[in-house]
Amino acid sequence: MRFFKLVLGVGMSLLSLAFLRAEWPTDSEGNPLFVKGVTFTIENTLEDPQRQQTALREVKNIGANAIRTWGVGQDTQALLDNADAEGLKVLLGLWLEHGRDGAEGDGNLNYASHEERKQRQREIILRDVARYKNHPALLGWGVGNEVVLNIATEEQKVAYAIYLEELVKEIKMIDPNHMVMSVSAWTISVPYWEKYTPSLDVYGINAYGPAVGAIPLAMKEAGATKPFLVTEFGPRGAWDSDKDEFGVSIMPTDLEKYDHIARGWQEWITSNQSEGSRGGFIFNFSDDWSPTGIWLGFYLKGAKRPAYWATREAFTGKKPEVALQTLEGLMVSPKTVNSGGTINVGVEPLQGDASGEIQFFFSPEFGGRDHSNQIFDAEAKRYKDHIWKLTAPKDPGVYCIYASKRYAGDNVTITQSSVNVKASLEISTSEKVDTSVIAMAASPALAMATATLMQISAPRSRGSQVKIVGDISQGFQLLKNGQPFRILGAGGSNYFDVMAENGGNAIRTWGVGKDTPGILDKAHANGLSVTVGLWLGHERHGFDYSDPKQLADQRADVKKAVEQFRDHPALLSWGLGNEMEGIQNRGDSPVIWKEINYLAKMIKELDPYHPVMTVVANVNPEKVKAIQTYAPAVDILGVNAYAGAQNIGKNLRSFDWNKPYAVTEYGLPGPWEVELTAWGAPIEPTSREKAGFYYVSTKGILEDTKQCLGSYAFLWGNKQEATASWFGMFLPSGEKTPRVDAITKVWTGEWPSNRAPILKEIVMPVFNRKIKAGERFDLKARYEDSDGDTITYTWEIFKESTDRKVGGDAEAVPEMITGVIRAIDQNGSAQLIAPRAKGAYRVFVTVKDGKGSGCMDNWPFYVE
Amino acid sequence: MRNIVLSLVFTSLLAQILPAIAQDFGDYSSATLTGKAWEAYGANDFELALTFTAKCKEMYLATAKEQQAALDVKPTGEKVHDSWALNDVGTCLYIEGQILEKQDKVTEAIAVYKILSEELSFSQCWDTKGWFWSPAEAAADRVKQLEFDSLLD
Repeated sequence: MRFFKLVLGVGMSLLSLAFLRAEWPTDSEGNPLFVKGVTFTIENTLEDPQRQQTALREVKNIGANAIRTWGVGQDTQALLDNADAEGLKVLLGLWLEHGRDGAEGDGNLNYASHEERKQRQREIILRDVARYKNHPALLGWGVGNEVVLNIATEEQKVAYAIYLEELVKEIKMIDPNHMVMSVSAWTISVPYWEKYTPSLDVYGINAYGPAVGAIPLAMKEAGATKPFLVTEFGPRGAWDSDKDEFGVSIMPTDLEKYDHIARGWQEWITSNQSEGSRGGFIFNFSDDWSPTGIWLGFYLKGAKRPAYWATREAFTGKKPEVALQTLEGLMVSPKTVNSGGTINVGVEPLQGDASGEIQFFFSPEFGGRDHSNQIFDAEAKRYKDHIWKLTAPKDPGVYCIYASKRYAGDNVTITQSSVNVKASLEISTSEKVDTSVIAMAASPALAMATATLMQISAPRSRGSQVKIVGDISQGFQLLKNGQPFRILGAGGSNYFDVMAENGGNAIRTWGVGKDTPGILDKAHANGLSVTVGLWLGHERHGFDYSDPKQLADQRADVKKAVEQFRDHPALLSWGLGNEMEGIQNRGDSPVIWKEINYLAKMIKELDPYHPVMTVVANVNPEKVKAIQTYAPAVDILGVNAYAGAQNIGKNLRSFDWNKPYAVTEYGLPGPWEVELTAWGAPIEPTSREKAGFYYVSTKGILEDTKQCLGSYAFLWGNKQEATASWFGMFLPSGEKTPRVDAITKVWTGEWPSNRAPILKEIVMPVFNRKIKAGERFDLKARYEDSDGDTITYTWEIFKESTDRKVGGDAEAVPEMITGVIRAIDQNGSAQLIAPRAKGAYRVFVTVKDGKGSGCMDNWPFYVE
Repeated sequence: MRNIVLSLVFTSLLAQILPAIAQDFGDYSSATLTGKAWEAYGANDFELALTFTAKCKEMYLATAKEQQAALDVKPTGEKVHDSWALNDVGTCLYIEGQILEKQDKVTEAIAVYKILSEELSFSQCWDTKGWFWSPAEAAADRVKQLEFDSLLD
């Protein structure tokens, strides 16, 4: 096997060297040219006969070294000359007719039978080759574009591939000095080329979005033996995007587009040179006032789109010369409107401001390609602030609505939503939308098409594959590696062996750190799955969700973490943030949820095999609505809830949450939810009561088998939060408490083999009282061990915690007071001499059974 | 003899009237009965509280079940008050369960809680802190808690 791999490796190298030696051009330093190209469709006009040359100069300015065309036309000679003048190479397209109506150039050439038409096409191609073969700008020939995709039958596809082989041979006879390639949609043509068109020198692959990173492996799977150029590359396209309620493709934001190009070029094309990548062409250096131009073009009406700057950064590493502005959140209400009616539209800026001139346009989504390529101005009146009133078009049908804003340096940002225009009186009551509520409509939903493409091509072997099946009416289920998986888990990073022994199957973490690889490995070794927490900044810690720099850094951190751990077999899902919406407000801030949405989509593009969960601090109607509106890419809602955790599902359903959820932190009422002493100290439930809370909550949560995917108890470990014993299911010294036993009983139906001692009797005269310094008290806290183990008692006095935080932030352990208490016996009796210093205290008793189980209780008191 | 008969009649009437005076069912509305049950429960007069809860059930349980049957989801906002019988009878059952727990009648308490959680699941009770809570959800939790307690002891 090793020998086989060696031979293959040498073979590929020789092949590449032979290819490079024969035809591949070199750069100014004599190295093989790495193509940094753009597809190019700008033509001269009567008003501007120098338009093409000016545009090519811009192509050069953004660091490109080549352009690509799809066919030969009247201006080809001029284009080649102009490109040469700018030092650009041209991959000259030779158009081959498609076999059926396609997305682009229509055609109906049957390659299995239309011999005469094939011959005529051949003559034209060879004529063009002869005409331009000696032009110094010529990089090579691109023969045919996505033809195999647009041929209906297998017989005709094979006939086409054979015809292409004959054509390539003839081209090479006429022009032996330039490479000849053909272009495929994704890698679907490769098997045909490998079998029937061996004379091709290089393969052209059209691909968009993150799928491009998977090309090398897809090529291997398709049996490719040639290098490749990414002949069309850009952000996720309309064909690859989710659709809104009217079937309109949801356009990525300008920020997303920028990221896909600038980051994607480096990560998915440049970094794959050793895998056969010879560069590519970013689509499309155009100025077309059309939906495609809006989505993918470099210019609109002479103003630069983000693709211009993103390509410049991709090729040169230079950041934009202007601060890019982006619009997001084109809000439309009502979504269905009578012909000629009023549409309320709100525009939110994602970056920059929305105070400048904003223009609105409609584009019909009906009536065939020619009709749907139309874009016309919308009649718009500014209502107030960022809200406009548009007059709906007269013709019924679904329309795209575009909002655009030109800003400094001749740049333009544009965003999109949709509206359904109906003939008057056609709208049913149920379709009428409350116009007081302007619903967010423009945030793009999941980039699932790209993800699907990656799944089809299976770019990497994955450690685990997790998905959610079902719907709100039938119920949801988590499948891990095809098997149903109910989360029986807890949050924490220790005691995995105890969890495995006691019927748990999952743990949750809050952030990625140096210990994460070890946690994952340890979990896997114990058969546990992990929701890997991706920590996101909290505003209360100073994070600013409107600061592009902070957002960029955070995105980079998330990306790095996902790439690092996505292949780990223990991975169950991504826990995107924890209570980052804030715990002391309504949690409905759009700016946070839009960022969550961005990150969720990014994660799914990087890792389509694991669902994304975002975790919030309890729920309320406003928060749920904001998440549904602004973060549709989130798969699972994780809810941290303490008192009443078992009723989260009912609450979510009453708030119309229609996706699955998990309870991500629960246990007992928190210090913020319980009765306080007269001096403000929270009264902690006893260890026995705590066990009851865990039993009741866990059982109640898991009774919701339709929408709830499971739960994570808090905390599978120990921490100081109000006290040392409030939340930890383990003692600071590592013994499991009755809480672990209670949850085990729910998970498995059985008690653990060794159980923790249970509190049976309390005599605590100081509890919740103000006492005098030096006063003496007899105390008793008696525990029983159902296994008959010998119990040891430890009594301690601590000052009341003064380092109280919110949201689980780290707190300091308060000072211990010595010399004021002593155990009387091993039956739970002790004597307290009240401390001399005035203040709030707690008396703690810790019991252990010597076999890994224990218990801790405390009672507050105050010395006057 | 006539005096004896009259005396017996008077005594019989008095026997019927006196408890009513002691219990004071007020206007016999479900709201009044529930309020009085809470009041007696708060005063630890469990027997009196149980007479109010029993009267409330006797008079309004059937209506409460009809109101429950007419609902698909727990009402919100002003609609909560449309289910007046459901809310009051549900609350009375919860009070009854609490009293039975305090009287160590665990089996009886569980039975009452189960009726509440299973048959009157959309009942709601106003908390003076400013929100409605669900006696049925609380009852379901109590059933689990009592089940857990029985496992420990």
